[in-house]
Amino acid sequence: MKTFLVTILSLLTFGNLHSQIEGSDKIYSEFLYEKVFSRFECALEDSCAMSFKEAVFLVENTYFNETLDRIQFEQQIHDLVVTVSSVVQAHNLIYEGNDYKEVEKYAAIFQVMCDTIAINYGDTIINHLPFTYDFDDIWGYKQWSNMFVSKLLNTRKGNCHSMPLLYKILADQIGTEAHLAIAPNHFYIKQYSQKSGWFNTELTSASFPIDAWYMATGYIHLDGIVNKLYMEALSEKQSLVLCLIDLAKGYQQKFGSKDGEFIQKCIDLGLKHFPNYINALLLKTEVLKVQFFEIMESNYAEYPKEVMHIPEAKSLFDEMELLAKKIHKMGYRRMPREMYLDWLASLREEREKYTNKKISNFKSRN
Amino acid sequence: MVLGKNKYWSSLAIFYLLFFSVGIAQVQSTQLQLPNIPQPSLLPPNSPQPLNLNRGFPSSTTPNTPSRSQQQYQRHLQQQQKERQRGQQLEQVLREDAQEAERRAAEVRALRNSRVNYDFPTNAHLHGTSSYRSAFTKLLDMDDSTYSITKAVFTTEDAFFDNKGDFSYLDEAMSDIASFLLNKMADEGINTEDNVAKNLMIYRFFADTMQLENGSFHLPYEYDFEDYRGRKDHRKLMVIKLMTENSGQCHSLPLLYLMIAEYMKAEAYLVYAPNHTYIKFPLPDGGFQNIELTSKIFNSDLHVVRSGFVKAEALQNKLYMQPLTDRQLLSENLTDLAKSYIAKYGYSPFVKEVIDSAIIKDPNNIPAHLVKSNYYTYRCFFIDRQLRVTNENFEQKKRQYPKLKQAYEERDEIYSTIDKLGYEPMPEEIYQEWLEDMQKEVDQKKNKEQFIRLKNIVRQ
Repeated sequence: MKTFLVTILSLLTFGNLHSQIEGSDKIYSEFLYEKVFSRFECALEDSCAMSFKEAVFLVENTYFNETLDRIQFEQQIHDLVVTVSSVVQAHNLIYEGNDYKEVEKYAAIFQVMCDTIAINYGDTIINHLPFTYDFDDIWGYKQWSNMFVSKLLNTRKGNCHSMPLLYKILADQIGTEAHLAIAPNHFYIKQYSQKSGWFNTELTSASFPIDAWYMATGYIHLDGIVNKLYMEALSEKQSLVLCLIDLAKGYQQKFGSKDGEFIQKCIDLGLKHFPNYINALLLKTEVLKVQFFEIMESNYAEYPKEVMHIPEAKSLFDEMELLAKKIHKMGYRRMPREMYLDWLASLREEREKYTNKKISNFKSRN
Repeated sequence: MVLGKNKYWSSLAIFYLLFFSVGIAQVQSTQLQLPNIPQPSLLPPNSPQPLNLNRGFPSSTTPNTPSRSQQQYQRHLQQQQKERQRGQQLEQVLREDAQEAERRAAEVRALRNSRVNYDFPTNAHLHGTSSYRSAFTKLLDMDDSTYSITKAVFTTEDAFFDNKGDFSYLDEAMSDIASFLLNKMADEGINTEDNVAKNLMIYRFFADTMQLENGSFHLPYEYDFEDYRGRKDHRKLMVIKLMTENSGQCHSLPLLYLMIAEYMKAEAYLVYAPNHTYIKFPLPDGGFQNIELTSKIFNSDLHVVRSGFVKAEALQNKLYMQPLTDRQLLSENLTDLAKSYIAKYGYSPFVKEVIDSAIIKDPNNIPAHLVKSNYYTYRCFFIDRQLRVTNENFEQKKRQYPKLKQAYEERDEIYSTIDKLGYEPMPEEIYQEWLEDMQKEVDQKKNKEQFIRLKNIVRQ
């Protein structure tokens, strides 16, 4: 009887047992996040090497508490690389330029990601199927792991986050250059060829839009481009920062941003190496906002005005305002997320106007 | 009086003289008999030839039934003719051979002495090139504190006319326009110190019909569609042409705007777009208002972006849509000077000198880079012609002449610089379409609304 009462009391006082388990889980998980963070720090400070593929894997593996199968991940990418190289071997591309070998690789990766390819496997023919756009949960609201490359590899369905990332991994593996580029709420691929200069690859719709499409329809203020918030071909280091902020976002998804210390650490490191990374700046405002609301809630305040007498709240608010002004000045404008799918569709509707004809006119021999 | 009388008489004398001489000529022509042309049959076979008009042609005077001696004579003539022709042909062949040999020898000599020109010859000896040289030094003498767009434009354009113009006329004309516009503003009760107001007034000067102080009318400046790139006539691009003919294009219109703005002490900037320039003036809120003078509308930067020829890199490298500083304007003037020289004399090392200094002034000046790239391209053609380079022997010749290889490498280097800057060539038809689209897209009602909105910004 006594023991029963004690358990009842303990349940009432310490909350339920489930959260207790979460707590220990949290400590373990936080330990993993710290470990990966120091790995990123080491790589960004040039003390150790880290490939983009490794960065992507670390981010996703940490989210799953190191339960992601590394061998499977490597194997899946390896299989794709083999397919890409066999497409390269076929030499089907018709292109006149001194950088033929590079462009051939670009074309092969694109084909493997967006086309059906028949592969002779012994006596049988296997059809390699393209990766497709997953219209379900494009922002990872239901499940954050929907943004992951490992999810894309397993289900062959991805979005504007996982598809460009996979493209870049494949390009790195095959030994050619591909750069990630940022548009509002969106990533895409930028590459350079002698005949076309810089060109864009849009994997979500398997097409090559010209820059005007992003500029004229994609909620980009021109200042945002001039200040290199958007549409810049990212360097290797900047791509690692992109993964680092993904790491922070994964942490935020798991534990919220009330305890913003880890997220803040990631943001600071990220901004040190990529000062105008818009997603880092936006995450920062978000964290500040949550912290400010926290103070409001604990003071039972309904309006911000009511907590302004608290110095901590005042400084948070000022910082938030300053940051918002800065981002606005750099050229950021909020894109309503509902508009996103319409925007992607606009490329299909205005294909004629916004397609890069120099690229789409590349012919293959068969 | 006496002089007049003399003149009268002398002219009368000339008149009579003329009259009578004509009369005499007429009389003579009626009286004279044409001499008979001797018949060939009357001539002995070996007598010297008379006027041999029908040499080589079958004679029309040959009688229908020629005698034997006549036939012999004919044969003799034909023989002579043939021999003469053969001799001429032989001479021709020999002459050609000699020429060919001489040419080859010269080529061999040239090659031996490596007399191939790897750059264009200087045209310094040509009449008028010295005026370009002096214009160039005049432009370089300007610095940020002394820069005047009016002076710079005048210097650039006057070089084309051998520096024969007089700046004081232009100076006077510009002051007249400026004071007229400022007076008009004062008359209408508009604040003559406000920058937006001044710019709106200049805009009206371009877009509206205005009655001048002397009662005559100033008509709006028209867009001249004909040869708007100045291919046939370089003068089409000039402000002086715009001022005399009241019509211009996207190069001269914005420049005149800036010149008027300079004399009115208004703040306005030139802005580049692909193949195009327009005007931006600052607004009190820190932003800018665009003016498109070819269609006289308040356009937005999005119009430019929609052309599809603006790459992100071009914006990031500030090739387009950025208000130009005075230093950048000077770079533009230098580029114009180089273009004008090319139109008149073709390429020469002087062009490179001018364009290099333009690029030093503004390293991302895309029109200057394009002139430079043309220079290097034509230089390659120039060397190709001397070395007789064809598609087949290109690789071999490149190995043979390292300087040829170098010329091509230099050309490719500037090509890749331009690509890296984010330049995308815009075909001319598309440019023309784009200009027309812009005109269609903006309806006049909206444009008027924008004008009123801007008018309301003006401080009283």
